[in-house]
Amino acid sequence: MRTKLVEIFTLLMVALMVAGFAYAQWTETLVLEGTVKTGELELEWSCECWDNDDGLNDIGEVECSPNGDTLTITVTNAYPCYEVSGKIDIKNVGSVPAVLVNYRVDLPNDVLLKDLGGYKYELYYDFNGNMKLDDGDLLMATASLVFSGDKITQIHKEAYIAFKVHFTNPGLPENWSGTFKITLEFENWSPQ
Amino acid sequence: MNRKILAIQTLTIFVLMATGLAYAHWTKTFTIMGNVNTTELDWELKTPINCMDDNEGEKDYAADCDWNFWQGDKDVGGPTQLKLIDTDGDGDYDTLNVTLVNAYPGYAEEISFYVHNNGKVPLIFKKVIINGNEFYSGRPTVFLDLTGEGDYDIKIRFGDNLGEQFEPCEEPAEISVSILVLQDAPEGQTLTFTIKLVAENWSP
Repeated sequence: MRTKLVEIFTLLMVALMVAGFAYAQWTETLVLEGTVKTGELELEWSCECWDNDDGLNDIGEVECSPNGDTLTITVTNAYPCYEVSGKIDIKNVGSVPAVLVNYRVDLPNDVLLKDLGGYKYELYYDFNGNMKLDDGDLLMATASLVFSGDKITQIHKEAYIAFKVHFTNPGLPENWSGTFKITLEFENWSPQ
Repeated sequence: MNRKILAIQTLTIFVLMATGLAYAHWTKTFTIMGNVNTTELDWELKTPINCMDDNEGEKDYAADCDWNFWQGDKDVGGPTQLKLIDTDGDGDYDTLNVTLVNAYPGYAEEISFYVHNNGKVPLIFKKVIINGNEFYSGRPTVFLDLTGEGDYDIKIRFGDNLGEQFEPCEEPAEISVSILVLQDAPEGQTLTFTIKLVAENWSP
């Protein structure tokens, strides 16, 4: 009995050694380690603006002040023939190019926009209050935009949007106030 | 070997898909808020308002073609009635009502009043419209046929400050209007005329 146990044990050891040797001969491990570092879409902007009555009577005032992602332009004491201009500089401080993919203009309820093409616009005061541009509405301002390049398609380092607004008769009401909102949506550039 | 290549390809495609999906969702939104308020153009008629025939007993005046006035020795016409009116109720006098009483050919009157810029923007006294006749400068004289009969009944000279610029809160400026009743004025009638003063905002 004892001899039989020794034989079984010996046979088992030999079998394991053979099997282990064979395993060592037929196993190969490959390792692929992947690291993805993403870029950052980050833009900063600044603004300067001016008007056409400085040094004369200096009645109207225009100020622009960026605060985070909101740029506020305030025009005070506008009157017919008053004109404000400005330049908005956008710097790409991230690590991927940015693209202006969309912009939206929200107007006061009593103002109507006519797109003349070429980034030129006419603003009409909605005198008859029907929120539709028709013969009863009067021109209150003209506006134009100029983009660096033909249009902002990509911002690698920096770009600008220049604007000019000329207030005019007969539509500009006295003692009127209104708030305009322009939303610019940027997206990272991609090859797609 | 084929399995290794397949594994590498699969892993690469997976990584590209993952990064592509992330790229498509990176956005940045900027908002431009524009606040605009406009100013106000406003001017008003101010006292003192004066005229030559301003009280009972005042001898009447006459005038020649060059608007030289002289005083006669009788008090037939007058006294002239002057009244400032705020027609739209905004607190500013915008109309001066002038009534010549018992006037006759040769009767002359000169009225003076003041205008004041009480708005917030400088204004230009652009034009005066005397019964539909527009004048932009100088001291214009106009002959008026108020009855429509083909003859001139009165002549009016508008004097002072046409084309001038008035600053907000500046001292009121004086304006005078001279009136002479002509030979063809009808008897026993009430004749009316209107003088409108038009201002425009100053602009660069």
